[in-house]
Amino acid sequence: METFYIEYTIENNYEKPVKKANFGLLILPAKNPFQTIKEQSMCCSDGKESFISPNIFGFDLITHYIDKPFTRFLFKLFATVEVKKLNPFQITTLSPLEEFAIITSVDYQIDNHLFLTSTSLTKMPWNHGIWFPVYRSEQSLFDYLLELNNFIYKLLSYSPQSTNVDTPIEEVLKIKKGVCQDFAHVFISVCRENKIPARYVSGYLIQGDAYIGASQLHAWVEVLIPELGWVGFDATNNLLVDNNYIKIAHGTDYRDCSPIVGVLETAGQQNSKHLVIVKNQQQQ
Amino acid sequence: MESNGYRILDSYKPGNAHFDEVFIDSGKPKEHYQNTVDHFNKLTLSDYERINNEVKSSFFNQGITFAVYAEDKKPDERIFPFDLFPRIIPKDEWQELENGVLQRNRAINLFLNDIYHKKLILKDKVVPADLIFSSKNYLKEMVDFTPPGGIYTHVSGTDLIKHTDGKYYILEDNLRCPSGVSYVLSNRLALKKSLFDLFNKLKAKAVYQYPEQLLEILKTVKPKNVDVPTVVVVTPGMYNSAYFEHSFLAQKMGVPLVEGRDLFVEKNFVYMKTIYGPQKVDVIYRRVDDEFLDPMHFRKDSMLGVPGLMNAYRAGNVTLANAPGTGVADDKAVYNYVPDIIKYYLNEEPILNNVKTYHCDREDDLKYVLENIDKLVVKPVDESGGYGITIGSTLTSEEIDAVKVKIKADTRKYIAQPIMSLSVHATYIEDNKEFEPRHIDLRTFSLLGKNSEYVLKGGLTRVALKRGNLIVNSSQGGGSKDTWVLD
Repeated sequence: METFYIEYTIENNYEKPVKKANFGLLILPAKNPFQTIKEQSMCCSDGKESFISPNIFGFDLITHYIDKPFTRFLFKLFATVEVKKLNPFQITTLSPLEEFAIITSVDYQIDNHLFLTSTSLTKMPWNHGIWFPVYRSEQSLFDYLLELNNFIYKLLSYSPQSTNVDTPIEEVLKIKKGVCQDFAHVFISVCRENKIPARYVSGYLIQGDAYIGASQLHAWVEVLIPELGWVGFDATNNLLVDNNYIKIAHGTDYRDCSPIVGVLETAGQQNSKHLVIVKNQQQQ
Repeated sequence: MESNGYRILDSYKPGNAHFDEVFIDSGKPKEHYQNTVDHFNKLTLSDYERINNEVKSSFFNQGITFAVYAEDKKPDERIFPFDLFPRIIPKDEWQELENGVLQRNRAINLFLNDIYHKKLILKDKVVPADLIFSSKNYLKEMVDFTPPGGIYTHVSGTDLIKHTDGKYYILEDNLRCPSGVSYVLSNRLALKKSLFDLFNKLKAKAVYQYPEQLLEILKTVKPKNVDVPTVVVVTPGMYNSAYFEHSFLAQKMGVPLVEGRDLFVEKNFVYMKTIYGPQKVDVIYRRVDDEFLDPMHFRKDSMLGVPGLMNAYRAGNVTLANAPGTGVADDKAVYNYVPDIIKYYLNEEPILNNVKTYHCDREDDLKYVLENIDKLVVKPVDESGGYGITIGSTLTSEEIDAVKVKIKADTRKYIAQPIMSLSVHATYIEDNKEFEPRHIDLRTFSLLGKNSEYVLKGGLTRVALKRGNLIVNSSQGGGSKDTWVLD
């Protein structure tokens, strides 16, 4: 068991007053068998208490409706989370052939369709010219995914500001650069092309341990492996997800997991600052 | 009223190549039209024209207009063209039609519930799973969510035609808040005044109850823990082509007509801004398309929606009618499977026929379509209002080649059907000062609520005013007739 301290701050400043706004924040650590929230508190510049309700995948979404003019939106979250130690190398009793048969069965494909259907952000271009590993019945799915994780890690170089949240895979594969969500989208896309259900995950990553992408919210992928369930892969770091990762939410792609969505009535520009702190309790 | 022995309908030549609704032969009407033909035959042409014009000016005075959109042009505001000669449907014929429409609605509603939950029809391979999941109208926001009462399609518009064989065929289902019912009600109002004697003699079934029935249906699907629900109609605004209808229905139901900007969501409840402060809204008859409903979920640039509406809906605090995501079932590629859908869920034979449909996504069908394009109507699967339709028999060989290229570029997007012969109805043509056969179809309006259903007795008979034209949509220059269902 490890305990993490998380601090998340977002500050938006607006050139012209915002008359009305709806904000949705998807930043709370998820509640699941691996992670328990010990403490949690938040505050918002509108002075109102946050309203929390499930989003479409059942994750806690914070919403704020503001109907008084403002030029600054500030939101802070403090949380302490306990994460269970888990061995990411789990072993299935199924043979590769049995696994393959389950994955390619009609019912399995239908039950997991949401994570098999390509979206605009995970659509694989047809002429990318890259020989991604292909999933075959001779190889266990887990081994295949390790290979794919390594392949994408080597294919793309991590480069902040090289892409934005709307960059399609086509562009990422052309420049062979990206940030964590691009690594995740490419991973998801290759899985879906191979009929393997894969979902996008957003979360926090322990800082100070030389992980790539820990200074902001991180993104990785969960893949459904028969018998084992959803297993996390982080192609940005070529690692398996372990107890240094704190999950916020999952969805079909980045758009289901954006940390902040705002619909505003304003004419001017805005600038946005995010600050993420994730510490092991002992480090404090 | 001087007739001099000349009877205005005597010179009418029935459309021999097509099913003529009114006449068996020149001067010899069908039994259920006898009274009507006799009535008109007592008038002179100028009488007829005068009454027809009276009706039209009453539409103009009521502001019953619609807008036609064309690329690079301002919308053109028009009066809905109208013909005084009513379409008459005998009692038994109507009953079968009504049964068929209700059967279809029940099955489609069960289908929607299934594809958003257990997906049994897909696992049983009755409907191909890819067809559903690849549809842009299949919404993940609706997966594993059950709308109040399990009702998805509160309002359906079913388009039917009568073919040369005298049988009704379903042309398409409209499950995304179909328009047209306000014309039915205003047509009737105008016609009842102008043809009072005839109307009384025939005792056609009334249609005025529709708004009342719609309100009742909407109340049956109110959210839990709400006693007397507040119902509103949400319109995209006065520039929408169906704005007249939105305001008409709101007024007749006695409920507020609002735009997205008049509503807001706080803590998953929807409120309407009023001069007395915010008022909670429980049921929304929304005439805004799915993708514009909530900029937090769908199109971010939508100014027509309400931010946070989908979360309020999923929390069960407000009901949307129709439910989002129903468009996956009126996709023209799914249309082909509706007879199988009826058999699957209801274990009944379909009462109404489907038109044979070729889906260009299937290899064999595509081959047939490309080879026989001159005999087929090609339609995009996800457009409405008659846009994007090409009729093979009217195309030049260059145009045929262009259609082929279009189909091959996006096979999922197109279906093709044999060119159906729509029945014809005697219609007064002002330019020629005589009655001529013109193609007609019928849109029925039906409602589905929790343990209740209703079909408007009659519907909108649309008439293609251009000779030989098969597209009856108002946006393509069609007109309408009142539809009388006999008692």
